[in-house]
Order: sequence, then C-alpha cells, then structure tokens
Amino acid sequence: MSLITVAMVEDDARMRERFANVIGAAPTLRFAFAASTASELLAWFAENVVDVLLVDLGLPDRSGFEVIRRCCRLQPACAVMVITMFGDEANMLKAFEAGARGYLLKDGTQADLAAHVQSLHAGGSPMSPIIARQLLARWQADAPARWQADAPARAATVPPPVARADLPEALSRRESQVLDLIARGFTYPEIALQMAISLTTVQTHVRNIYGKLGVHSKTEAVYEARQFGLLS
Amino acid sequence: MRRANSACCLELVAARWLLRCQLIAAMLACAMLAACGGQEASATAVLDTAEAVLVPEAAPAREERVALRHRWDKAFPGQAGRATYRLVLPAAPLREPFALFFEQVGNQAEVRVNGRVLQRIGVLGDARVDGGKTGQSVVVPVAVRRSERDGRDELVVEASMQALRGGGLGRVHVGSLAAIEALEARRRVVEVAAPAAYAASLMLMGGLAAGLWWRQRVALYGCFSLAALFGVLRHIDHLWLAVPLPWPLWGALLAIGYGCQLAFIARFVLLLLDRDPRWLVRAIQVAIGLVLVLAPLSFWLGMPVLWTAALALLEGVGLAAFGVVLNEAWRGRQRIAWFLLGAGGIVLAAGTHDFLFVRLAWHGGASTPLTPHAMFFFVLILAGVVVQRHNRSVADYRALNEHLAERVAERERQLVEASDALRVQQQEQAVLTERQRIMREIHDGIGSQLVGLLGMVGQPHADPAALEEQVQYALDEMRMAVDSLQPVHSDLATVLATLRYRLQPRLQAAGIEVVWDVAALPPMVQLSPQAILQMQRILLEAFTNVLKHAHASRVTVHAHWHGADAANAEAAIVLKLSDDGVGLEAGLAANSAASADRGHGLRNMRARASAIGASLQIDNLTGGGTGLVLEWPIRG
Repeated sequence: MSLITVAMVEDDARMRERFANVIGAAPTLRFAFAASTASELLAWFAENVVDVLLVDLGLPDRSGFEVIRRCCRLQPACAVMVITMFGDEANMLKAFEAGARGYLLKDGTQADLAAHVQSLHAGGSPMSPIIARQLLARWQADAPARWQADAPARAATVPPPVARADLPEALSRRESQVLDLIARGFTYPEIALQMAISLTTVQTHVRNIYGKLGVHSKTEAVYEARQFGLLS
Repeated sequence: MRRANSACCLELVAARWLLRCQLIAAMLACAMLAACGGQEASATAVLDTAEAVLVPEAAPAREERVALRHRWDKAFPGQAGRATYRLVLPAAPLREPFALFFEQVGNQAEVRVNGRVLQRIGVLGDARVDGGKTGQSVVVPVAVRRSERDGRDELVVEASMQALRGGGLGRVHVGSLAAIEALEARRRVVEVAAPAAYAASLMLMGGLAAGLWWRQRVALYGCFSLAALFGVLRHIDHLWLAVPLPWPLWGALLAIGYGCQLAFIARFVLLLLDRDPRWLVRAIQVAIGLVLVLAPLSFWLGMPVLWTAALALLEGVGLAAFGVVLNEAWRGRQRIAWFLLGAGGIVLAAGTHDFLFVRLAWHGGASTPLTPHAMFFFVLILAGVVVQRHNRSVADYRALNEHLAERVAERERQLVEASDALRVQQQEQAVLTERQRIMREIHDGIGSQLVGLLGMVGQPHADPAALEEQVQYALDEMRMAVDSLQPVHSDLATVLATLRYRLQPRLQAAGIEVVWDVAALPPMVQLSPQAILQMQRILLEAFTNVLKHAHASRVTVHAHWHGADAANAEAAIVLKLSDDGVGLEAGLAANSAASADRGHGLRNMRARASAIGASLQIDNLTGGGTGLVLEWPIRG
C-alpha cells in the first residue's frame, strides 16, 4: 500500500514544524510540502499531486477559502482539511462550502492528527454535533419553530428538507436523519446501528452532505470569488 | 396626498372652463339681444295710438287719445283704475286670418275685436295675475272680421290696473300669423329665456356663495349670496304670471328685492376690494334700511315718490362705491378692481338708464330695464373670485403639505439617528457585558486551574499524573468556555452531544462504555451561554467523578422530556446519568483525601443546578453505582 502524501499551508512556523513531525512520524503518511503563503502553495500545487492538503484559514496573502476552492478545482481527488482553532465552527462551515472535507484542531493530540488524516483519506469525514446542528438549521430554515411535539416519532420521520434558493441541493431524508443523530451526540457506529445501515453508508451520507454544501454552478463560483476577493 | 392635489387641479381646471363658458354664454346673450333689437321692424304694422277711456279710482274719468305705450302709473301715480283702449285695425285681405301682438297689456285685460272677446288675460280687477310682464299675442279669426262694406275692424282692450304695477298698453303689432309668431318667438328670448337663464345662474352662484359662507363664514360670500337671491326675485316675477302674494304686497317685496340687490352688490364690491370707508358702509346700511321702509310704504300708500327717492339714494350709493372702485383701479393696487370697474360701470349705466327712462320715463320712457342683464357680470366676477381663491388655497395647501413633508422627513431622520445611536449604545453595552462575563469565566475557570497547577509545579516531587490531571482540567475549562459560546439553536441535546464529542476519547481510553440515549428535545429559550456553561460544568463534574472515583465500566446518559400534564406541574427536560461503579459512599471512603474535594464538587453541582433553575438529585442506585437526575423546566 502506497503512503498517503500530505501537503500543508500554514503561516505559523512552529505549527508547520509540529505537523511535519507528527505526519513524518506516522508510518502510513508522507509529508510532501509545507508552504507559508497561499501563493507559494498554489504554485507548488499546480505541478504536484497530493492526497491530503491541510489549509490554515488565516493566511497572510489571501483567504484560506479561496485556496481551498482553487485546490478542489485543480485536484478534485485531493481531500482538503482545514487547520483550525478549537470552536471556530462558523468559519468551518464556510470552508466546507468552499470544498473542504474535514478539519484538524490545532490543539489536538499528536495521535489525533495522524488518525484524522488517515480517516479522511479513507473517506471518513468528521462532523461535530455543533456543525451538524448548524447544517440542520440552515437546511430547515426555522428548525425550532418546526419542532413537533411527537418527539419519539421525530427520529424516524425527520421533517422533509426545505428547498431554499441559496442552497444548491436539498438533503435526502436519510441525510437529514444522519445530521439529526449527529447533532444529538450519537457516534457514526451508533447511527449505523440505529438506522440499520453500514458504517460506510453513514460516512457516505456525511461526505454527501458536505458535498451538497459545495458550490456547483459557475456563476455562483464567480460571485463567491468576487466576494472573497473583496474579503481578502 | 398627490391624488388629492391632482383632484384639486382638476377642479381648478373645471372651474376655469366653467368661467370661460359663462363668459361665452354672456357674449352670446348680448349678441342675441342686439340681433333681436335689430330685427323687430319686419312685415308687421305697428299701432302706436289709441282712443282711451281712463277711469282712475280717485279721480274723474277721462277720455283722450293716448300714445302707446301708455303708462298708467305716469298718468295716475299711485292709483288703481280701469281703462278702455279703442284701436282701428289696418285694412287686410278678408280671407286670411291675422294676429295681434301686444308688447304689453295689463295688468289684467280682455281683448275684443268687433265686440267678440278673443282673449282674457287674468280676470279684470283681480290682482293675482299680471299680464303686463310679457308680450301677448292674439289670433284674429276670419269669422270675427267685418266685411269691407261695414268698415274697419275695431280692436278694444279693456284693462284693469293696480297702483304702481306698470300697467297700461304697449304698442300693438298687426301681421300675418307667421310674422307675429316670429315676432313673439324673438320677444320670448328677451322676456322668458333671458330671465330664466339669469334666475338659474343667480340661484346657482347665490347658492354656491351661501354654501361657501356657511362653511367659511366669509362676509364676501354671504353678501353676494344675499344680492343674488334678492336679484332672483325679479326674474322669477317675470316668469310667473300668477304670483303668490296679492298686490301691492308683492310689489313691495319685488322693490325690496331690487333695492337690496343693488345695496348688497355695492357692499360686495367694497369687501372684494378690501376697502371699507366707514361712511360708505354706513350709507349702504342706511340705504338698505330705507329700502326696507320706503318700498312697502310707497306701495302701501300709493306714493311712488317714496320709492323713487329710495332708488335715487341707491343710485348715489352705487356711484360712491364706483368711485372707490375707480380709485383702486387708478392706483393699480388690485387687478380685480379693473374687472369691478367694468362690471360696475355697466351696472351703474344700466341702473341710471332704468332710473331715468324706465322709472322717471324721460323721453317717453323705455320699456325694458337693463339692470338685470348688467347684474350678470357680477355673477362672472364672483365665479372668478371663487376660482382665484380656490386656486390660492390649493397652492397654500400644497406648500403646507410640502413643508409638513419636509418636517416629517426631518423628524424621521432625527428619530432614525437617535434610534441608531441608541442601538449602537445598546450593542456596545451588550458586548461589554458579555466581555466582562467571559473575562470572569476565564478568571474563575482556567485561571483558577492554572493557579492550582502553578502551585503543584512549584512543589518538589510533583506527581506527573496529578499535574497532567490538572492540565486536563484547565484544558477542559477552556474548551467548555469556548463551547458555551457556540450556536446551539436552543437545543440542549446539542450541548450534551458536544460534551460527549469532547469526552469520548477520554472515556474510551479509560475503558468506559457510553450508552447514549438522548431523545430529540424541545427548544429551550433559556439556553444562554451562561446556562450552557453551568450545565457543562455539572456534567463534566459528573463524568469526572465517574472517571476518577466510580471504577465503572459503563456510563448511561439518558435524556428525555415530558409535557405539563396531571402528574407534572410544568414541562421539563429530565437528564439521567448513571454508572455501574462502586457508588457514592464507597467511592468517597476509598480515598479520604478526595472526599472533601468530592463533597465540595457535589455542593458546587447543586449550586449550579439551582442557578439555572433546575433540580439535581444524586443517589446510590440499588443495583450499585451512582445515579444523577437533573430536572430542568422548559420555559418559553
């Protein structure tokens, strides 16, 4: 089995060093490149193929979201992870929309870091309950108001996803059910058990949910690029 | 508001058109009158003398030849009486019928030709009908005619006259039926159509002015209204043969109407110019008073001189008012003065003409008074004034609207500014409050943990396990503080889930299985960051106890809710956390050093629970292990 190649862009030298050490130490991972600016990374990325890309959102020269977007376009097969602080869920949602598929906490343990990278490469996107709750709220416009009294029945029949103009695609019933269970604290294996599906299927649902957040149409991409251009 | 304006505009335009139409109508009427005057001499013969037998009430009868028009009042001022006029009709072809047209006949009359009564106008001696107001035509049938041998046809008009009623006999036109019909039609325009038109327009404008006066209480309108309504009397009299009041009461009323009309018009002119010479106003008042006294007296006593005197006074008042108008026009102060000058001049000329030629009958006298025609110009002037004033008030109204709109906009701007400032202030206050709260949390939470850590590090032979534990506490505190600020959309389940998400690796490492049974929970409005933090601390303490003291292999987390029903006073979320460890007492006994710490921890948990309005119960379970039940009422 070939090693999983990992590249990263992070302006903090200590953080770069730490990640390089952790990844270098993991037997299944190979550290390929560490950039300190977005342009440096993009230049490298245009000529090198990589399995996993770690992106810090707070880059000096341009926004991390834009980096994610470009890289996802250049190499759709590459799994992009966001390097983030603990609790920065709001920014993470935007990163997912840009195309990210997971995140790493800067203060996570060394074992966590390697395990997460491997897991992501294997197709397992992590999702915290808070992110799941945010996504549910986004899809169900006014989730608390729609909350229905027959709580026991609710787990089985989650309200149908509400189609909204600013969302590219509606969630399937199963997907919103997965989101609901994640938001209530169930682990992926528990969800698989409850829904009588395989763990892989749960992970596929999560990946698909992230995928539906991504921007599909060209005009939207242009529009968002402009927005980010203004932001950066 | 705009719609109202445009409606006003429309009204204005309509009013202007009305005025123009009236002007055009007036000009047409004038042209028609002129045309009528010119066409009278057509294919008819005119008889202008008669043999008369005049029988006044209080004087001996007279027999004489009179010129037509014969005025009874001039011959016998203040007296009633009877008269018989004999006229010889001109020769005409016997086979054709012909007709007569009397320019005036009355007050009551009986028309006979060759002794045959052809027409009765009223009943002789009965004052209710006055035939003298309009011309009368009479057809002379062939049957009553005399043959050539028997001489000329004789026309006899027997008439009865009331005092001061303008009775007598006018000229008599003789002609073919068609010619007389045409003549009568032309005369009708003057005698019927014109008074009807004047009466209608006076009533209309008088009514309009009265309405305006009623709403606005502007003396100008009241004055015109009175003038117009008094003026209407005379025109109505013209159109009305059988009047409702007996003579001379009706005569007095007509005279009062005529006099008051002139006086009020004079007053109207002064009001319009906003010129009020006190003497003239007083003179007008006196004139009105005198008219009210002299007219009835004159008719009652049969003394025409009294009424003539009143008319002379009115003429004087009119001249004086005209002088004021002339002055205003001359000084060019008001444009309206020129209009008044025109109308006033015409009325004054007409009034003088009527006074001299109709009333005093100079130079044989004139039959038609001109004042009623002239008065019509004042109707036009009032219409102009109404339009102008309306125009002005619309303009004022618009200006006011604009001004008000500006002020409202200004106030609105100020209000928005004030509320913006207030909002900014409130936001700043909220941010400040939240910042202070977070600072306090950091001090009390991570701060105290770090201080404790510092103390431990400073000790010789510090236990690395205890140090790691202390660092873990600090990290937990920090993460809880951050998590408490995350948006959870009022969902307590997400709060529990997040805690599990953070602790799962640690529990897994300790070999403790987690049984997770969290139902979907209703939204809780009271789930503020503070409340979330308290909740997290309670649960973290419970989990820590399980990890440290319970020696458990499994922890069960169970969350559900119940509504407000018979068994439960209010809706609440019930959270149960149980383990299969050694239980409360045993856990404490095992480590006496930790027992004080543990007791402190339990007290803290209770305090936190009561701080968020929840009840907390911790018990040993019958099957071993510890059970924690937290019941938190749902508000909102």
